[in-house]
Amino acid sequence: MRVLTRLFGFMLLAASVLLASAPANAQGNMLETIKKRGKLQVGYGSFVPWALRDKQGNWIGFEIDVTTKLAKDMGVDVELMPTAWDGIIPSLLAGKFDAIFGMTVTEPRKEQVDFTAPYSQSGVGVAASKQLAAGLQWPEGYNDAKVTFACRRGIAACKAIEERWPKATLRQFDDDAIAFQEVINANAHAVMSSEPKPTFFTLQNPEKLFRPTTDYVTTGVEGFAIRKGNPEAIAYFNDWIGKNKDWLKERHTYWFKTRDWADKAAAN
Amino acid sequence: MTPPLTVKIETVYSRSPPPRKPLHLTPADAVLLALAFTCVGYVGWRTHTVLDYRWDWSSIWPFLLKRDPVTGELQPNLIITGLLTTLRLAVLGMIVSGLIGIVIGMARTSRRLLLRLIGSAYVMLIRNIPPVVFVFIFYFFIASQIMPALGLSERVRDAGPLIRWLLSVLVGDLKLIENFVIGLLCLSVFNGAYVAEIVRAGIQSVSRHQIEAGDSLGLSRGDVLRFVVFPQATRNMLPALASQFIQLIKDSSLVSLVSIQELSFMAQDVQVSTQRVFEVLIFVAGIYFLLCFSLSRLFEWLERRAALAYR
Amino acid sequence: MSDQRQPSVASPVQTTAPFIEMRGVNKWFGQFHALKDIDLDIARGAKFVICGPSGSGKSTLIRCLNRLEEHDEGRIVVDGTVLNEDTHHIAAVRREVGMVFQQFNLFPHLTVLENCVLAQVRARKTPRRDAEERAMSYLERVRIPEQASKFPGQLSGGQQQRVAIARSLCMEPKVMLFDEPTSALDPEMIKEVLDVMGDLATSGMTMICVTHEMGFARKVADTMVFMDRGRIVEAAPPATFFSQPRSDRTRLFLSQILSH
Repeated sequence: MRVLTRLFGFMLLAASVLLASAPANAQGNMLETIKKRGKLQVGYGSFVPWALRDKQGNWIGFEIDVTTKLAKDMGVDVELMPTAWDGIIPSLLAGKFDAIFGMTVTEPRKEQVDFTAPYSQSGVGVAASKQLAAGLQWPEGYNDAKVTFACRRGIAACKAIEERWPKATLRQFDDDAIAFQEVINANAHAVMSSEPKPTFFTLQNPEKLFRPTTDYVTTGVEGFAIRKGNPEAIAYFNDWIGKNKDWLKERHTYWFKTRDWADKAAAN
Repeated sequence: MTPPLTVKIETVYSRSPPPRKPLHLTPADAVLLALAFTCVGYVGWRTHTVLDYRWDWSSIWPFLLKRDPVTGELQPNLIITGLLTTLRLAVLGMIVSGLIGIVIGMARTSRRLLLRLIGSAYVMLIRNIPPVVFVFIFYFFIASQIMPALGLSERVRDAGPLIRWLLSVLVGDLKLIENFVIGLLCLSVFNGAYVAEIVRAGIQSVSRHQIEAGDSLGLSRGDVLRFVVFPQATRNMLPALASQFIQLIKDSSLVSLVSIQELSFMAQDVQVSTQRVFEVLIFVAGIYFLLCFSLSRLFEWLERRAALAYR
Repeated sequence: MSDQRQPSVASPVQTTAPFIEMRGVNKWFGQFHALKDIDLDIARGAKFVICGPSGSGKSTLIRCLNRLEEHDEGRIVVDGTVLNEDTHHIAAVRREVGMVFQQFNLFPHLTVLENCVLAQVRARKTPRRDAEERAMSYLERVRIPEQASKFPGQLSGGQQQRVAIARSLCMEPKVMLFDEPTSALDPEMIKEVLDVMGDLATSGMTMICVTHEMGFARKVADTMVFMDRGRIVEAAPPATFFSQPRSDRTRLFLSQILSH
């Protein structure tokens, strides 16, 4: 399985490189292409509270709010293209959609895509198992071969764990909820994920989980990712982000700091 | 002189066979049963005590059906929509991979070297690549080149209402037609290689003598294949085809990796949105089981029918 | 080279050009030389019985006549058509030549009637109704019209072989090849098949039979052919063949199969 995962990673990388070196059809002025098409095509993966389904099966979330408003301001419709997160960059490079919204800016990603100015700040938080990790000193005690971390595959938090706790074992899962479940079941010591998940899970499972720290372990910023070579689009988006700073902040607070949306969402 | 042979002639009679021995459990059976129950019980107990999980099935149900807020109509929600896509992928996938399998399988048994080589190359290439890797290669390197050239979305947009209706029955949401067709092709090209091997084995399972009989009667090569070889080959292929088509249904979940919105993909969304991972997984596993189980029953019935036709 | 060969064998009833002509035919299976310099003329209406030990090339010889086997050297002409790679020639010859196999080779998935109808409709383009009528008339000739709607698997071996004969006759061939037609049958069924073949001979059909049924051969054949190790050793009318075989090989073979 491990070999397969690696092969898989390699494939995606190869796909990215190949597609990046020979960009697909959507060349030329990207903004004009969008306006001519009358549709802004946005790729994203489901990730609470960025993008999730309400009980009607419709998409809601911070990212959805942002894309909807941006498209409206551009005078076009928005076409939401839910995409498996594993292949989302190759999909962008292959021209399946115009932009990925809400992608954490990292150096390796910057080599493949261009980012706009950040419009959101996120932090990776930690939750730990009371049974396994109560006696461990944060953070030095966790850098131990006996300690197991859990995280969702492919997100920035995994990278952070590898860098800061190199001796610990890292187990990656396809889904955040499973990563948290492993810690609740005392199969892993601690789990890292973008806030607000660590907070919410700890609140829901007070007898099993605790927070070694409420500080962000790492912080990251998110922007829109688009194919390289579209400076006019970057400029346009940056301008839009600048003009809508307050609105973005208000939406971010709503989705990340409150649970007012909880009754709309399917999660309980 | 030899004495006359005396033959005792008895009344010819027949009677029914003695009653069958009733089924009964041997001690070995009992031990086996006990072991099986213990295993199941142990897993159940572990799950109950060790897995600390608050089961909550109620959050799944809204995702089966929803009521339209405006009209009040019942409509399929995510899981059912995904299931419908999976069903379409399965049915169309069987047809398309069946066609690919027949063509390549025939090429593999052809008398012409070039055809045999092409057939073998296809089968060998696909059979020796892990399905997941194939899905990605196909999606990013092959489909990305073919689909824009086809301009499917534009053609569909310009098509007449009847064609649009027909297509929507076949592929579901027309806005996602490219997405669906890529998934279908990916699945069919992959499974076609396995079906081709089954077809090849099926054709080769028909005795050479049958072909000679057809030849000697003056039937053309095509007619020999169509009327003599295929009917017999199909019967021999049924059990293997059943397995392969069940495999196809399960493989259809792989195309969720490239964002084809079938059952697994939708289930993933529901998992993330509800945070009810295990409930969704188990529920979806149940649906796949029902699908595959029904298909295997269908094939059992077909096999029985095919057997009847000989006797 | 042709001077070295044994003299060509002519059928006693030969009139004009032979119906079937084999000249210098050679055939190999890999390194195995299966047919060696075969020369044979068969006239229309002739009844040939070919015998010889197993592996002597009898079956291969008749299988070359409708190109179920390809000969490697020499020339085979059937009713004026030269057998070569040309598929039209092959098709033309197969239209003229019917064949009955040791294992019957009926199509197990088709009823007896369908077995007889299929090739008529597909290869001869006979309308189905006529084809069925003809099939029934030949099934009557082989005395099993009542089995028409059964599947081959429901019939005895003898019945199956008679259906196979009827199936071939439906194509109205000019010559019938029999490849050990009774070898796979239980003893009590051999007679019913031989009777049908005897009737067929009486009707004037050209027949080439590979068989060990020497009683049948004496009664029906006008020429006996003895083969050994791929060669035709001897060919003669049955009267001379059985009473005064020329070669020692023939004599030995006859003594072996006639002794019981």
